[in-house]
Amino acid sequence: MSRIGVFVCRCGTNIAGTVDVDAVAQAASLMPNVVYVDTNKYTCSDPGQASIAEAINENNLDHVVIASCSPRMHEALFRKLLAEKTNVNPYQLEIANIREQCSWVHKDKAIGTPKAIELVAMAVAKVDSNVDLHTTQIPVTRRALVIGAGIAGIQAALDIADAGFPVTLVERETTIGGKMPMLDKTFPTMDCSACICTPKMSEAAAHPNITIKTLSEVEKVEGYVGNFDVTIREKAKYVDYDKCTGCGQCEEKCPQRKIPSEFNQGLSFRTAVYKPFPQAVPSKSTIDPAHCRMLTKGTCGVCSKVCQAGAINYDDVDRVTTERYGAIVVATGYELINWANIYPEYGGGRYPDVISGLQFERLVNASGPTEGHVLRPSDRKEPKTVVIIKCVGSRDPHKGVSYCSRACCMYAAKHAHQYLDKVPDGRCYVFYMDVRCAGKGYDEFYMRTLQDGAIYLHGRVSRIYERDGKLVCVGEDTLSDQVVSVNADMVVLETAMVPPEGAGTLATTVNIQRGPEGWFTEAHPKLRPVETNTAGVYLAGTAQGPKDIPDTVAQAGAAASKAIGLLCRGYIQSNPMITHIDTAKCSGCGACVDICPYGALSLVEMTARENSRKVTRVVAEVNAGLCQGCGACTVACRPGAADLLGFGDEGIMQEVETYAYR
Amino acid sequence: MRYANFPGCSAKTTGRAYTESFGYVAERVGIQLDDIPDWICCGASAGAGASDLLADALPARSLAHAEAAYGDEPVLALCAGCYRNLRHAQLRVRDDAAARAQIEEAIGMPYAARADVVNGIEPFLDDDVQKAVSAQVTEPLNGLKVACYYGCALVRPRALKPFDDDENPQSMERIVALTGAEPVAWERKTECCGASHHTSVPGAMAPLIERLFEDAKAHGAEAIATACPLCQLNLDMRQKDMDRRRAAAGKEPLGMPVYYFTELIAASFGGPVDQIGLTRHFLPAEALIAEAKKREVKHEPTPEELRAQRIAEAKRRKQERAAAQAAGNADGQAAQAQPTAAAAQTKGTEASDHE
Repeated sequence: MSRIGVFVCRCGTNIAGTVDVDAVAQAASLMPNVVYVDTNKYTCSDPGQASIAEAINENNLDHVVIASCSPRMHEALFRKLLAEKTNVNPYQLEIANIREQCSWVHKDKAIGTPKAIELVAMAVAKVDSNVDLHTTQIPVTRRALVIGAGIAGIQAALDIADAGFPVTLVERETTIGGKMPMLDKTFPTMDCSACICTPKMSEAAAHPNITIKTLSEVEKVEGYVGNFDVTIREKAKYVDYDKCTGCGQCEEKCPQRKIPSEFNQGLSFRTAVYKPFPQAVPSKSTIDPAHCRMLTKGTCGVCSKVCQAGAINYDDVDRVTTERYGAIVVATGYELINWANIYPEYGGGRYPDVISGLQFERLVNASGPTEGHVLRPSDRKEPKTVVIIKCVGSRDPHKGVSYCSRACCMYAAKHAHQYLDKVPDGRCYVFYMDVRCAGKGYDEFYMRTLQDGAIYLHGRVSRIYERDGKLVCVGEDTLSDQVVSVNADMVVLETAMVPPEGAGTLATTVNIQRGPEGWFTEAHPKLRPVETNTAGVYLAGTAQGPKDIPDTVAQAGAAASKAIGLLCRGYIQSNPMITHIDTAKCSGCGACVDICPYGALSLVEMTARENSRKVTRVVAEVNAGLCQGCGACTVACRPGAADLLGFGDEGIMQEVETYAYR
Repeated sequence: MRYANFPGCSAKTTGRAYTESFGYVAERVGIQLDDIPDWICCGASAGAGASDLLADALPARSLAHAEAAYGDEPVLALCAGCYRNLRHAQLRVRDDAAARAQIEEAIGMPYAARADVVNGIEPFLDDDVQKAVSAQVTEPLNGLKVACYYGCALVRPRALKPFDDDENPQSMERIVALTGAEPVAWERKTECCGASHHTSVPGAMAPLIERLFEDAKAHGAEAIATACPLCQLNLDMRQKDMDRRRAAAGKEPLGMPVYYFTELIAASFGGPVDQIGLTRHFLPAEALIAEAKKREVKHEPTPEELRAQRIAEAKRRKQERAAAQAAGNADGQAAQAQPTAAAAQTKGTEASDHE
């Protein structure tokens, strides 16, 4: 006879508000094999836990049912309690979820109480058939992989490397750094973005524990937490980085000079063999195979002739490597929404002087195409009237995205401030929906911009058209209730952040989830903000959602510390709730092998004595490290040989019968 | 392609030119029209003012008749106002089961809203119809600069899932270009013409059409093309007053014929002016078309053609040099000429690459 204890939680009024907890306890005391029942105001609190441990030890309980919140909330906590404070096996525990699936969804005790009693009865029935399960320790490969080398990836890589673990930093562009080196100044302190970012870049390059792989993408991830086998494709650079000195001779002589520069957002040109900007890391040139004459047409070879180091190699090929990592940090950043496709009313890209915020950053940057003079792209004249439009694509579910991109309010204020600073006789109009400046020193910065003379107009611009050399911005000022039109020389659109191209593919490769907007999903929005639902994979920066630089760097540090924690411990506890194959029943059909999403099942030959004869036949085998306990195979198995430990057929049937016969 | 035709009240009155020109083109490009039996008013702007149910029930009754007679045939409404009202009713019945029950009750007929409601432009977006149009053009409107004007109702509201972009639609431009005319890019193609307010408050509406014409003219347009009887009427009829006012203010007149896009197609087919609506305009509309047909065709070479020209030119020069070199050989200067020709050859290839 088992001795079952039932503990019913009130959760303040969260449960007690819609469930008569005492009635549940009363009903539980009459259930089979239940020898002890107690209620508690907050079971998860320290005194609540202590009282459970005490009751178990005093009453010699061997099975425990806790009726409280979702097992996803506190099951791990209560298992730990059983393991540490009692002699009960932690898997002799069942959680009856009477909060999320009962009290929170009902308004009435007349419905909530009987349902809670049924849930408890089912848990009591199931726990009676539970068996002891034991975890094992799986060693962790003490190396980390960081995908994406913007400021988030660099910061995470530096933090992990400083803790003494080797890190591979993978970046798909030719240089690390991401968007931050393109920015001119950072709000609200106005320190130079490149000046604080490029030292981090060179620090990462020089760090003995960091290996940088540029022009590289993650192709395949196999394995599980602690032991991910990652395949990385390093694309052909056509330049031998070991020989290249970064002198730039090739760039000077390259005849392909009219390629729009990605770094300068199309405001200047680059060559086919190039370094995107002087402080690029690695500080080497790369050939762009889409534009190189030698690679596209087979005639040229100028860079090869001028390279004194002999580093040019037109026959370079992609290199594919597979290595094992213990933890993965995903820091793939963002992209700006392609406004030209969705805002034909703003010209849809027809007017060269309607530019994006990132293009404005390059215009005011001293190392940008205009050497820091605000000159409009069409005729290189100084614009005397500038219109800044906020929320282009953001908070516009019809055309763009429904969320707020968070950083735009501040950089719009910064752009207005910078423009008025550089063009003192200029006028700057900012069309806004809201001004959201929550952050240290942020609102003060906005106020300063207002004092600088920026004119904020509450409303959206409905149309931009060209008339007599001016860009006429027609909009509404809802505060004065008037239609206004501004004759501008240049218009800056503060566009929405969206997930970068390829985020969906990466999510499938790494096996992490994405939200409806395409950003990677954290395991819990408040309590596990940098973890994902895949153990060992962490998120940093805007890959998880729009944020500004301070938040990005803070989150990168948090992701790094989670990864360091895993690598430091050196091992992980295996999950014992995995599939078990009863080889006596297994027919070796392989249905489970086909259905397993984790590749955890395989067919092996087994020799055994059956009916007094020695027989060799094929049966399925489970890899305990790969099995995630999803249970797909238990359903696919025709002879019923596959069973999930801790979620066995017997326990589930007990639950169903209890529910059906009550 | 067959369409169930909803004529609407403008078909034989203000929009007669549209009906005539559309009919003329339709029978020549494989668009067949079946008239809806017992059709009634779409509700215009008064229906919605009375009640939401009436606004949908009035068009739904005609749509139900169309469905009973012609099944899944798309319903064509040439008038943009009718199109808007019919489409609203169709989508509401299709997407909202409760509304469907209520409307069926009100009209006393079953209506499943299977067939789509389309406007006058949509039949021409079909590839086969476009090919048929191109094949029938015998008198192209050589380079007539046309501003295609959609007004407010054809591509709005977004909830009615319009057939084209609501800020910068392009479909009328594609169709008009088939006639040899040149659509211009302009800014106010989806702005309001003033609609029925021209009757109630003409003074307030005058600036609306004036800025339309100003914008079209500023972008080089000689004429405006529309697909809405009310837009056409407002723009065509009010020009005389507008130009009189402008003359008084010392501004130059803007007078610009306002065509239905189907009139332009019919004209390019060589249709007689009195059969395709061109004689029904307030501002005389025939002369500009006649003049355009007589224009000289100017062929602007495409970038590909320019490139081919350059390559041909380079080849010709190369042959000349080869010929000169042959002549030089005869003079015994072979040793000098050989490398020069080779260098010239690479230079020629590179020059074309640079473009």
